Amino acid sequence: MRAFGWLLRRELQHYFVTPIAAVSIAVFWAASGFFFSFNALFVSAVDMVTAFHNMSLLLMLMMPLLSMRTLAEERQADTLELLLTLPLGEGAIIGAKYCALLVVLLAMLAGSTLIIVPLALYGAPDYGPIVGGYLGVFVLGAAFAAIGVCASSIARNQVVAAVSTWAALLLAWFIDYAAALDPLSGAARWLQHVSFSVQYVDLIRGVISREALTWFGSVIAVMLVCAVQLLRWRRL
Amino acid sequence: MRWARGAARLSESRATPVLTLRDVAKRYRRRVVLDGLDLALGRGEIVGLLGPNGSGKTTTLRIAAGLLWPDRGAVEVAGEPLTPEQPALRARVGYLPERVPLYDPMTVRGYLEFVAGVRGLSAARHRAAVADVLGAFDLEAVAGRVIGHLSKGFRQRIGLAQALIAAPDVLLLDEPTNGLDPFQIIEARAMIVRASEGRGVIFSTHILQEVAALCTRVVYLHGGRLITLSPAACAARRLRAVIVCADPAPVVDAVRGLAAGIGMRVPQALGPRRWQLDIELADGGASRAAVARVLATTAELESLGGDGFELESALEQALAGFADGAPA
Repeated sequence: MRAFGWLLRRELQHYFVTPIAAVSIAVFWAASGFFFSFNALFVSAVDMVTAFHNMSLLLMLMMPLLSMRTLAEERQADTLELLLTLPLGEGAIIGAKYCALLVVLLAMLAGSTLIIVPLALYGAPDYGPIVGGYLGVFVLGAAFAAIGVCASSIARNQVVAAVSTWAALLLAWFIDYAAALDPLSGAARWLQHVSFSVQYVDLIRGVISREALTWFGSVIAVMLVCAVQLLRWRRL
Repeated sequence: MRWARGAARLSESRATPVLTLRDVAKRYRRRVVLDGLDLALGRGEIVGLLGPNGSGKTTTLRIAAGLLWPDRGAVEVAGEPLTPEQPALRARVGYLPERVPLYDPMTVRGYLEFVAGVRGLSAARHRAAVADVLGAFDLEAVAGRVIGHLSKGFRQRIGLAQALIAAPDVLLLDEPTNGLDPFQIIEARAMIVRASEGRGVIFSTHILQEVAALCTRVVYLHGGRLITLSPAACAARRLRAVIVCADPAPVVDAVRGLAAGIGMRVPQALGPRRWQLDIELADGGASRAAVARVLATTAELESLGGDGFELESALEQALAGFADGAPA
């Protein structure tokens, strides 16, 4: 457990000592604030559902850029040899890297809560759906991060890892479009069930949907198990 | 120094291997790299691993370090099997790959603290271990500097320091002097000799002088198996060392005290505080390593080589035999 803590600390140091986390968090805060203000001032849409939708799209753009380095960078810098000869299991290595990404994600979302201030000043928002919505966006971001970690454990190159993650996320987001070909078939129902864009709708409305949470939780678990297994295969 | 195993450990039976590779086989797709490799490494031994490019030297070291799993066979560290279920055992093996694994944005101290932490050192030992290796490898002056800004010689020292920080039983070095300048090579060799105290060391190299200067045993990878070169090929009888110290008398006494048959000429002064020692060994490789250790610990060892390089020429002849397909 102590070794896990040291690895997590190093990962966090890497994000927060270098400009990676600062730039990513600043861009996320600025962009989410800009979209919220734009909608409030020019579209007169002062609701958190739109804000959560925009945050989800921003995370789809940014999480692959954060996750691409997790293992591909270690391989490029030959430090993966060090990690794999340390008295740590592969699960601990992947776990520490994933937890560090979640901390960055939390920091991104925590700063964006400032947009609630004008809502509270000029209205009477219902905080339940807002908290639920933030939980939903966090779960969605965590799923994006897990897919990114898995892609990074396959790719030797960071850019390849990022592009592969974008490709996987776009596929997962738009996969339900194919259901339009035969909307009443079983395949269409399945495509809608696995589509991120369908599953996240309840979450960003602040509804704690058991189905959506189970689906995104399963995606996270499968992706992290795949990443651990891929790391094990490197030893074969 | 804590990273150097104590004399008590050195006196433990050398017959008990700290590392055993038994019938190890490894193939990459259809290419067989190792095929029934056997090796037992004793405490205090420095084993030179020779072989042409692609012969499996790095694969052997990676398997011994627990980085790769063999397709067949077993690896034991101090009698315990090294398996995926026992990652903690990897803490007893220090490994320096050919390309030193360093995090360039970290400071030297930060990196060593990280390695000490993940290698499982307790909070009490942690700080002392970092201070020890910083001192042992002359890294105190650069402890606060970012690794990415340091020269190759410093990077190599940091690599050795990380491999030794948890005082492992086994030290594995993959071409540790590759790319270093002549001064850095001398320095690295002295560090390897010092590090061998009380633990087993295997290092791979292409440089015969290195094998001649450091090893107690030489093994050659041939057709996926290890062949120990004949003792005659590994036994240099004479050593020539250059040391830096004010008075060589204590060093001479310490070397003479190692064994009854060791002969030494009167030290020749090469300059202020620089002395040349010509040493006649009592026996083969074991004394050679012991002498090297004493020289490195009682004085500043500037250079160490075989007088006339008999060992090198013997090794060359032995290796020429392998090239012709006939083992020595």
